[in-house]
Amino acid sequence: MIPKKNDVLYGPVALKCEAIKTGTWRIKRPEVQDNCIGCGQCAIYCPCMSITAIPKQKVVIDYEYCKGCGICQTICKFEAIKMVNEKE
Amino acid sequence: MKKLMLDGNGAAAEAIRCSNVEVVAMYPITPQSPLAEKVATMIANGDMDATSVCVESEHSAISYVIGSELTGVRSTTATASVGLALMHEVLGVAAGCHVPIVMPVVNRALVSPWSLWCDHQDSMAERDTGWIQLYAENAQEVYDLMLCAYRIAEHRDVCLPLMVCMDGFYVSHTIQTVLTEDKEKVSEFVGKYNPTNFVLSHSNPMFINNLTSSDEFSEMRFQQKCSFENAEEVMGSIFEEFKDGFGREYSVTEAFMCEDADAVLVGLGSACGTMKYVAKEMREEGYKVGVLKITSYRPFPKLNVKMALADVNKVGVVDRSAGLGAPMGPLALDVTASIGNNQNIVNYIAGLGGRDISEETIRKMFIDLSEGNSAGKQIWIDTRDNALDIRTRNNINSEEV
Repeated sequence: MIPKKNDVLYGPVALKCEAIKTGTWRIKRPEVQDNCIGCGQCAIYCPCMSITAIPKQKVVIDYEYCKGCGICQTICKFEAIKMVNEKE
Repeated sequence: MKKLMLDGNGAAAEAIRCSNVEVVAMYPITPQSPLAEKVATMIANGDMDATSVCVESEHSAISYVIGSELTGVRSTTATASVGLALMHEVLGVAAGCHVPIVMPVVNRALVSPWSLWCDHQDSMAERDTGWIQLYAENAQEVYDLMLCAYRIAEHRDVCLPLMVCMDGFYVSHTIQTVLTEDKEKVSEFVGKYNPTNFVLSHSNPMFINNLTSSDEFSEMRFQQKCSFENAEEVMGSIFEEFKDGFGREYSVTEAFMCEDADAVLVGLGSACGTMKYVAKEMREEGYKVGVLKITSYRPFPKLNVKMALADVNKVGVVDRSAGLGAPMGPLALDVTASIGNNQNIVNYIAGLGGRDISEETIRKMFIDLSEGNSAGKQIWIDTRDNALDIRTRNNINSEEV
């Protein structure tokens, strides 16, 4: 017998509101290139709100939640986002 | 101690009355209806201090009971057959969230053909949902197992929902003398419900049954598996405590005349009573026969079964459900997996859709088993020879077509 611990809750339960770390689902990773002007189009289109745009700087991608859908790459007019295999 | 004339439904209702149950949500279905009616009457008459909730289906009944049990209130429901099938989805919620609900299930066949009568297919269809399943032989066992059930299910090291199964009509509607105890004594044994896992409260909010990714899913299942492993041991100690307080002895299995037996029938529920009677009779005639009754079907008492059948040459397993498409019926599969050698096992399919497992049927099984002609086979005992020709087209009046 493995006695249950008093300080543990068993079964599916969330004690604070927290999204699943969807970054683990990614097969391809978007990488921001040096020619990014920070226009923020990708941040507007990102379905996971995982991109932060700061004017005149490169956008920042939150890889904990980015699922690697590639919409940012499609939307970018400057080809400043490249999709790279996660394994590489 | 008080002797009452009760049927299985009445025994379950009496156990519920004395067990500090505070919320009841039962949807009536044959053959469970008298149980739902009795509990509702007790509440209406003030014999039981609980709230009876009128729900629109079994799916709602079990959902309601999970919700109220999670607020820290002992809650109960009961069902049968297609009602249990309608609960299927939600049964998994109770199990996965470790909500220790105790639910009497009155076994009745599943469709099709429509049937109101006893068969184990309804509870067998739910054997993998993560509920403990105990099978009662008679009304006395229903009463006793119900009392033990609260203690087993709610034990911190178990924390699993539990079904007390009784055979429809054979147990649920057959009146017999049942030894009962007064409310104070039962209440003391069962105790007040003290939730040990999830509790819904304003002061300590939690999000129960949230979406869980593959990252944690296996671990959650593993927690349930460990609870089942604990359950067998906990059951032993609760049965021991019950014996000290009430004088009646229970175990996860009951081996009857198995020690020197040459042929043993393994079974569940009410048929075991008749099997023991026939075995005793046949012993006097010189047949070395015995009976192994399985009280705890989930968790399956693998070691007890293995030990009881270690020196038995011929093992027959009586399944009260067909287990269509499987190599054997569900009970026979478990027995085979436990004793590790199926060459001698005979699987008898008997008592479907309310067909009586009579003394003659059992005698026929014992003799067939002893003769050894059916080793390794599945025998549909008592099935009519014309099973495949029951309706021929000639029966239809051609003029009407």
